[in-house]
Amino acid sequence: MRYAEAAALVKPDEGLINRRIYGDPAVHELELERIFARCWLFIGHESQIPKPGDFVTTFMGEDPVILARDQAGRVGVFLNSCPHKGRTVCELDRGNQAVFVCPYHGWSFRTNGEVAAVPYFKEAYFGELDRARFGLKRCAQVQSHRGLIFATWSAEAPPLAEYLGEMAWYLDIALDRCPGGTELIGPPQKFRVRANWKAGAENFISDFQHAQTIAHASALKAMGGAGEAPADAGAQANPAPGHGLFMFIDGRRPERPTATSGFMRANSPEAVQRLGAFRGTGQVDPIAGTIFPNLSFNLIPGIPNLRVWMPKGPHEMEVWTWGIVDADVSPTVKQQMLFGFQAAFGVSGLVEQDDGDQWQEVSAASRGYISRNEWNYIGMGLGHEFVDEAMPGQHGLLISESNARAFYRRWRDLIATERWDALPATTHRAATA
Amino acid sequence: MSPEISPDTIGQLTQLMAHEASLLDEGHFEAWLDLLEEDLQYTAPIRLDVVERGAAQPDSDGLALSFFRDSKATCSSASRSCARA
Repeated sequence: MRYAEAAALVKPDEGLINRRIYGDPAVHELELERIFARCWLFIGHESQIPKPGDFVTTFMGEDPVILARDQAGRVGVFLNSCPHKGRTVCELDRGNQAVFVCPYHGWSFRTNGEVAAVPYFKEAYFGELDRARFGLKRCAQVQSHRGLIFATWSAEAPPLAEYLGEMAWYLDIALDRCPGGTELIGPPQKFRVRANWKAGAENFISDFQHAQTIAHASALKAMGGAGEAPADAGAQANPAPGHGLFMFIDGRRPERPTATSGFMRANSPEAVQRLGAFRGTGQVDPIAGTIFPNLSFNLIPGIPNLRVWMPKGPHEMEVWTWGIVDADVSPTVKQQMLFGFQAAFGVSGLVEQDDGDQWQEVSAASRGYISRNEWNYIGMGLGHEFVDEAMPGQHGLLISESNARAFYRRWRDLIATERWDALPATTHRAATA
Repeated sequence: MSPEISPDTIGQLTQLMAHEASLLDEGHFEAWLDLLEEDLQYTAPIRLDVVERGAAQPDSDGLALSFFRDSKATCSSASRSCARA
């Protein structure tokens, strides 16, 4: 499939998405190439690898990688694949090691990716092997934002700060309100959902509607809280290409005491000092969002969590999810948040189970020839995007699909465009579009 | 060594499990909850591939996520979500 042909499968300015982007293997291959092999992807949190030799393994798209802190304290991300025959060199989830030894032929690698030793180097390679050439393949760029580590295979990708752009203005409401920053509570739950990875990314960037009507009705009945939020109780914003979130504004989140209410009150002066009165007092109150392509967050008070939607072929994803908490919160409150998070999200979470069911049924109903060629409609609020001078980005109503359209503009642009410097600078809807 | 369990006990356990399953299948959630002890702890830890030397430690607060960690209270909440109004 040609790039242009795949890019034409989404028409955000008409609110149309062809279902082939959720299941066509050829489209999936282009995504791995043009999106996952190029974009900045979430790898882990600095709190996971504090000491030299610490590492965790994860995936970038469908490529296995190792995040490691080397003996000099530098953070690197490496393809978890032996340059000799391609086997994964590390099968562990995490740990602390001086070297990774490939189990196949025994090549070993230091935590900075360099070859440590090759068996038979003298006797059978005659000392001629250029070991400098055969280190672990290294990500072109690795950078952090407030503890969150990202990496990209693309040397041409703009720096992370530019990639996140003004999304950071919103992210920092959660990540920077305390001096200690945040930490993850893991190990991550990892679970498979038989649905395309974009089902999760799209839901978390734009779909507050599903939580208000029927999808989570039973969970909400059990857990209490939210009913039907007014469409304008908040907004969704697309502050940088492909990234977005939705939020309550002006304190319109329904009041409900949570494990963190006391901490948030006590921390408020500190938050105001760090973020200013507008962001520090909860007037901008993020609910959920997505950093393009596949890192999403949910900041429901008391049960905040991060998740990565990892593609596993076009019809399946593996969801990795952690709790994310203010490092300065007391252990008791962290424990309460952990329980709350597990009750709502993750494999046994009432809310997550609802979502998984929806996405799997979407996938199951979209595999036949007729169904997979149909167009989904994401036109809610199309033409009613607006700007709020007080906040970055183009906005839509809280109940709208403006961010889903921005997400798919970015998807289209990345699929269609070979060079970073040729990418459109915005995913806002043009006034005249 | 196999634990010594009498055929009678095995029979009783089998019947109890069949009874529990039928209560859930038939939607008798309140009756199912009555089977649970008040201090029930029902959890599935997340297993990690780690080596012992350098094995991952619990984080500084000793917290660890599990696949689920239910009590009678969370089971009650879930059963309310399943119950039809």
